[in-house]
Amino acid sequence: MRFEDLDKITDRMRKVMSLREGSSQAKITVHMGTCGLSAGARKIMKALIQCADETATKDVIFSTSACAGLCSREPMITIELAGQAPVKYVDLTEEKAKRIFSEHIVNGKIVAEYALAIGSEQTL
Amino acid sequence: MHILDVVQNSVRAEAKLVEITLSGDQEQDLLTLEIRDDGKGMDSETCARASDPFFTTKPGRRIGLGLALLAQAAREAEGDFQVASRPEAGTMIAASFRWSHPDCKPLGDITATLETLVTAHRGVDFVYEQREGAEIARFDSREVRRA
Repeated sequence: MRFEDLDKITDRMRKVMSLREGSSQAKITVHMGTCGLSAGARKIMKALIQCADETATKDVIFSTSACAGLCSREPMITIELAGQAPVKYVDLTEEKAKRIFSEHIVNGKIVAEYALAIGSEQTL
Repeated sequence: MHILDVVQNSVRAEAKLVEITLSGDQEQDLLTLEIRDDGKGMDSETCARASDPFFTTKPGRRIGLGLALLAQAAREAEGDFQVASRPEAGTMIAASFRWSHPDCKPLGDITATLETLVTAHRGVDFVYEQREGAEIARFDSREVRRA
């Protein structure tokens, strides 16, 4: 068993905890049902957290959801900017997720080529 | 090891504290995973069917694979799987594996799992403890928050 260096994890968690205490101008929901996790949802989440960390973006909250019923299109995320319709992105890779963070979260521009649909239930 | 998948159940059950313990015992060739939460728990009928892949409490769904896959992983590695729960009293999931078994699943990226859980679930605290012999490593999000 590889023993995790939990002191190092604790240091990283301090940064992460500041992210989760942030206000909410944007919400990122990573679909993490069994299908999403099997398709790589955790890597997508990790890439997005890294983007928020690197750009010192504090006004974004992260969330997870269960299977959305589109297992074959996983990994999926939903991006919701305050006052705007949510956008579902499908068939993601870490590179696509980083581009979505940069263009949609930071600059407010939807990455249409990766989007499945715009508009559904709003939570923000 | 399906930890992230199984803990999503605890979060959906409105747990405020989830404790994950991973223990390795080389002498007994045994790896055990235990996940305890203080969520709303299950009645005996639901608990008995919890690892049935064609049973779920999620509305509009017909399959629930998280616990079923963990149970299968334990069986494949000559281990054991148990679920104990009571309504309003939380749930305990325990899975054991013969550590040296070729089908014993890899642990995966525990750091990324904890990072995901802590980031995505604001109202939930997580305790992770890893034991091997006398060596114990522990992460407690409550301590990080207080620091």
